[in-house]
Amino acid sequence: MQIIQRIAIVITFLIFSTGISQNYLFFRYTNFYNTANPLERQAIIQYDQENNSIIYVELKNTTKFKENLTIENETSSNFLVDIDKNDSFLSNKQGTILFNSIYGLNTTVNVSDSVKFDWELINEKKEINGYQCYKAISNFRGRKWEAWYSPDIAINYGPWKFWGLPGLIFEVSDVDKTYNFFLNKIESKVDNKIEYPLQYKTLSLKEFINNESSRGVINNLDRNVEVKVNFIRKTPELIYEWEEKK
Amino acid sequence: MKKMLFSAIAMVVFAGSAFASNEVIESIDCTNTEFLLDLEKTEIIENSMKKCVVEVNTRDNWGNITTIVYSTWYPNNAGGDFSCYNYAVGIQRQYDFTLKESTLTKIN
Repeated sequence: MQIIQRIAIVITFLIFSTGISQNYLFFRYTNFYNTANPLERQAIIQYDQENNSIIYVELKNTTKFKENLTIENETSSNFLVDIDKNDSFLSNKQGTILFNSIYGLNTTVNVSDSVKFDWELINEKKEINGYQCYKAISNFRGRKWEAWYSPDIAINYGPWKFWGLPGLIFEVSDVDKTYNFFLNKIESKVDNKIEYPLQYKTLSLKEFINNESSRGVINNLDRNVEVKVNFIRKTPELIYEWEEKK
Repeated sequence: MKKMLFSAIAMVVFAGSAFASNEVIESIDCTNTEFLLDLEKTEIIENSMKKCVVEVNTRDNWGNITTIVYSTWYPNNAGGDFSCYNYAVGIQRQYDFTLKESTLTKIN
């Protein structure tokens, strides 16, 4: 079954590569985040052959929380809110990245970033869904990542900001297994072409990060309200280049 | 000297508020000076104010939780609709404009 599936995918890929059919390929991932509130979420990469670029989207309405973190007896003094309510978009063209995020309480912004991975190719291989995959490791902004890629699909992208390997990334996780991304499906078309939402104001990564502890904080409060934010950075990126220079 | 004066006043606020109302309020830790207001204001509010604390756990895209604590003071004899519960509902509405009915439970 896996062989048939693989042949079908390879044929799709060949048709795609020769430009006979689609300009786009779609790669579906399942992500597992073992964070304070562990969750599973579907994501999709739309690969644009003509521009050799991708749009990556995490589909918010596919989120399944492993634990119901709703505060018991949600009282007037303690409750839970989601600050990232919409799908997360990210575009990547050879490391030139744009992603959208909430800034402050309810403002959406686009954030420009530029990333480079210093991948070390490891002489280990394993088969994933009938594909021969090879291991690579890289440090990136405070975490050590382990990826499995397949040169059979000569697209040097992966989920989220990952890119730069000589083949599509099938799996990638940090060594603590907090953030995990797994390819589960390759498609030649989806219902609608994905468009990156460009309508928002664009900030540099540094501007965005300088204000990250204010994400989700109400800013139009009365003068006599005191606000305390217990913010600790726990995202996939723990430290940024300009911070390392300190 | 100024801090000592404030601590003493804070104790009075706590004692006064505990008996004054059945509103849900946070007790005030007399050793915690993080809520220091300026002394001029403190003298004005002497034993007539309550502290209302609303704790919001924000969950981000990755499932990480950050706790944001909003604290405010209001007069014991605040009239109208002011209560800690209503204050918390107001905070909740800032996070969800579409919220028609608050999901919060009022504790007496």
